[in-house]
Amino acid sequence: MVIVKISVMWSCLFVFSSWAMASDTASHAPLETLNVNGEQVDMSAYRGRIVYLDFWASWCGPCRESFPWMNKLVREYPTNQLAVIAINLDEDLESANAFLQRFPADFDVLFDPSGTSATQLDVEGMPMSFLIGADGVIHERIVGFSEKRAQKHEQDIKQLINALDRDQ
Amino acid sequence: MFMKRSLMGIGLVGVTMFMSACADLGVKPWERDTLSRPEMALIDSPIEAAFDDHIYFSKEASSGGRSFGGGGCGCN
Repeated sequence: MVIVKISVMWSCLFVFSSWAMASDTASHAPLETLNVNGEQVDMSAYRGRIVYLDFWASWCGPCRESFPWMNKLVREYPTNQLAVIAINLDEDLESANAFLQRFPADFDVLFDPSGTSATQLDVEGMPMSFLIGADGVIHERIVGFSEKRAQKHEQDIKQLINALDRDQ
Repeated sequence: MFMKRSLMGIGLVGVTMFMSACADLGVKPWERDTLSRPEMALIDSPIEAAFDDHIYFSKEASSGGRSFGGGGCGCN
């Protein structure tokens, strides 16, 4: 009897803790503002467009692969359909700038050394990207980057853009 | 009997809370570059540690594990 009670208690605690961990990640509300290094960036200005929001750092290996891919996205899709925003999370700007010289970015790069935006969106790894729909709702949370998975993500972006074309 | 059970309950809750306290040490994924710096490794003598590492590598074919590396996404 005692063993049953103990196991019920343990499972209750386990369920509660996993629920508590999951609850802050699932959000279906549109993203209104993003606190980038203490400044509020108005994300509602991007309504009607698909946003690929990428968090990166200079020391992160896969980020080097993701930059050419994001440049390709910018080349392939017009800016009124897709906006690519990259937020750098390096503590020192120098290493971020050195990275940008080696891997130039054809998209907007914001700097957030204090990591407030990453805390707001609960970034789980580096790099991490968010695919945000035209309605401002986060469609997909992508942790890490690989060429293989990028193909799938591009399909998702295409789908969202096609839906955009249908609505217009 | 009741006393014993409630003590057991309190003990279990305490143990669970104690264990979960180790789950998050407060280092965020984007702060791991600082954590992986050589000066953050838990060694008091870097030269001796380098010799030790060489021995492990050359005689045991094992390496790493002394400090933190990677970005937390499991892809590098």
